[in-house]
Amino acid sequence: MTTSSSIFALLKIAGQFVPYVNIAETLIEEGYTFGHQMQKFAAEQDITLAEWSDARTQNKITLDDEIAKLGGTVPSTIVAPVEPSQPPDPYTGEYSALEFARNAGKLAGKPGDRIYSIPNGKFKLVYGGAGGNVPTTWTLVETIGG
Amino acid sequence: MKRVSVLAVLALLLVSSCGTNLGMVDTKSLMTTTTAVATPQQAQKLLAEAEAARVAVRDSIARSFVTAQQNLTSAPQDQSAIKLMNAAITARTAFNKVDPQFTAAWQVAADAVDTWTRAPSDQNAAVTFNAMYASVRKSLTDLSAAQTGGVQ
Repeated sequence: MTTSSSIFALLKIAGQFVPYVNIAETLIEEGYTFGHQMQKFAAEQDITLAEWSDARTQNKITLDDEIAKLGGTVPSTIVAPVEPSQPPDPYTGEYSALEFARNAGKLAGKPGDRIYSIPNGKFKLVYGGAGGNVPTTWTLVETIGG
Repeated sequence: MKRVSVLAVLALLLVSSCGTNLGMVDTKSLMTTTTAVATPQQAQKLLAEAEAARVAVRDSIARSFVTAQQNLTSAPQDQSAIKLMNAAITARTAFNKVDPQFTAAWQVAADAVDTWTRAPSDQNAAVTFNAMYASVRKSLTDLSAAQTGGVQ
């Protein structure tokens, strides 16, 4: 793996790793490019690729995470639980647009759970559970698109 | 109480004025990059900067939200504080609506860059990246707009 591709492999995790994104912002204010930031941070922290890979299991830092971190109170976005008529694909978590439209706004969720639109016309549910395991329950908090 | 009210008014003016606000994150340079990206290295840089811009917008809105909550707690009946809180809630809602779209597009574009990096002469990889980066740029525009309440 080349140096630049190694760096980019680390960059891909940027949004999921709190210390990095905070440090990145500071460095941007200091006039560093993002690539420079990554090099600088990796050098300062002596962090390994494996350690960054572990960070993949952490949830992406959301706006509400940041509000909570700053001491604010995040409004609940949980809606009433309803069983879906069909579960999403148990492996990919993808949920057809039809099923999404049928259930939009009616599924149980908890802060931190997200639904992602993906280019093939489906929606991908991302669970709050750690480690990417197939969840025993699935949730939806925010409705987008549909 | 009076001091809190003055602070709330000042903060409200800051939030509700145009895009030259002190607290507003400027993503214009990224959003106006419309020419095709020619190399995987350029693609990596643009994607990395887009993510950094997202984080900056997110944190700017978060700070405004917390400030609004604090002002409202100090002066629950103050109309300026209420207005500021409403503006902050609108910005938060707009951001949370667009952020998953940005993230999904960014991740697909990042995968495309990985493919392109492994085969720099692969024109299909270049085309795929540029197509996905257009989605990233669109979502970044919407994220930026969220600072003033989102795209109407």
